[in-house]
Amino acid sequence: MSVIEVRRLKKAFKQHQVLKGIDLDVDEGEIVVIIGASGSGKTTLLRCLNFLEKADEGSYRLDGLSTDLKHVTKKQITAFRLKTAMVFQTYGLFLNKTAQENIMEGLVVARKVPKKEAAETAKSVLTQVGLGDRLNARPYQLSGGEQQRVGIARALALNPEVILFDEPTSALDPEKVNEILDLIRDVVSCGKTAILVTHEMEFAYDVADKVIFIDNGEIVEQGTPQQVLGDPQQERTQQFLARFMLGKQPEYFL
Amino acid sequence: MSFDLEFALEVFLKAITKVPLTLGVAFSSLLIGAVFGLFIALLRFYKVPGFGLFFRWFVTVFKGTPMVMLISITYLLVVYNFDSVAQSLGLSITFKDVGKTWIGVGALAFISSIAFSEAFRGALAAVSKCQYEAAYSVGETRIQALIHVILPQALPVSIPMSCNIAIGITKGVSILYLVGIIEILYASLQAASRTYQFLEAYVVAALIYWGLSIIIEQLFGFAERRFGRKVRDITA
Repeated sequence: MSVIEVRRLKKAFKQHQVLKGIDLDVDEGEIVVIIGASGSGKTTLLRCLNFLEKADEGSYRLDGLSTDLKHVTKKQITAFRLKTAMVFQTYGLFLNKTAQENIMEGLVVARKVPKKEAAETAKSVLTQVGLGDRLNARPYQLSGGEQQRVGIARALALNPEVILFDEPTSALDPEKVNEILDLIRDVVSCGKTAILVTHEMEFAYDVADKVIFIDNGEIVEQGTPQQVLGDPQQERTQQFLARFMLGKQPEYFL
Repeated sequence: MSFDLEFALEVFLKAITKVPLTLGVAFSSLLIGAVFGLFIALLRFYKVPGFGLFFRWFVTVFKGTPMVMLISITYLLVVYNFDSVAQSLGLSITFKDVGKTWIGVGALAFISSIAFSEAFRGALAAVSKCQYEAAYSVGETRIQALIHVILPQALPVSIPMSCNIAIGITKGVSILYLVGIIEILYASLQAASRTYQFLEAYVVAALIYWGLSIIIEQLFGFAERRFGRKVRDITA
């Protein structure tokens, strides 16, 4: 049973048509990885799913909520957002709050969870991501990797239907990338529905249940990682993956 | 020409008694101005239909009007029209019951709300887009995000600008002598008019205003250190 169903989603910035009618289905517990070149529209698609960008038209269903994107109301947008959580490329931690408060914020303010309960939740998710001893640290006192851990913990604590990851490792140094990818693997592999936009092909190959390749605002190819990454059928996909393929099978070329 | 120190001291002792009034007028107009200024800034920042454009022109017009004129015009409008308007509203109060001081407060509040609106608008823009998006992404509404995330970050940013405004408005109180409100400058000149020793009077008034400015600057400096701390180093 699919938890997300998007049909004919379109989005334009002024004259530029960024998404040209996207259909997307995500099953419960499925991990979907969206790949594609910069400017292909993959991040915009992700942001349309929690209305950080407002799509122009199309229909969208998310776990019992459904709407016509052209006529979506503010109330509906908030309702949709309460069922999603996002992990940002630049972490997006609330700079005026401690690590613990960052996590409590969405629970206490948006979901009306009692403060005490939210504090407990925050403590336990921070421990889960390995920051149990940094509850009172403020974002500027944390390294990039640690900030992203808090970002992931914040998304987890909200217990959403789906977690959206927007290039979660693009701002990190190479050493930290694997650390964060391991953490993401841990948190999503226990049955969480997740949609990731990433340039980490190895990771996509390992973790994804489904890989979607977007180019120029359209889904060019989708399927299992083995299909899309291992044996792409479309020329555009092959071109995009050329470098990755080289890395994957060096023995053929040596 | 000589500077009569003894006389200057005499003027000083008279003028200093008007410090509480000056500060009272400045403080109340700043408080009113900050509230309205924030309101205008938000309407413009979120481009609220109608209001956004209206206040853009509103601010442009009044930013370009010299303070002296705004105060004089406000005063004259109130003097000419207060009694008849009050009467037509069925109120039994007259201009004399209200007092000139409140006209001064009103005019300065108006001026400071324009200045504050610009300071706050800049501060709102200084908060990165990601902070707004993060707040929305955890399910907060625009108002919740504003109260819990945006304003706590924006207001500290506006402290240095607000300090400028506070000092500007405090000095602006001296213009109110034009409409006969007896503040520091008026009191000094009054004392001098008997002997025509105006140089002493102006210098004394200037020194008192200078002292007030230093105190205000120190207070804001303290606020900046206190409230700026939580978000410091964010740009690194």
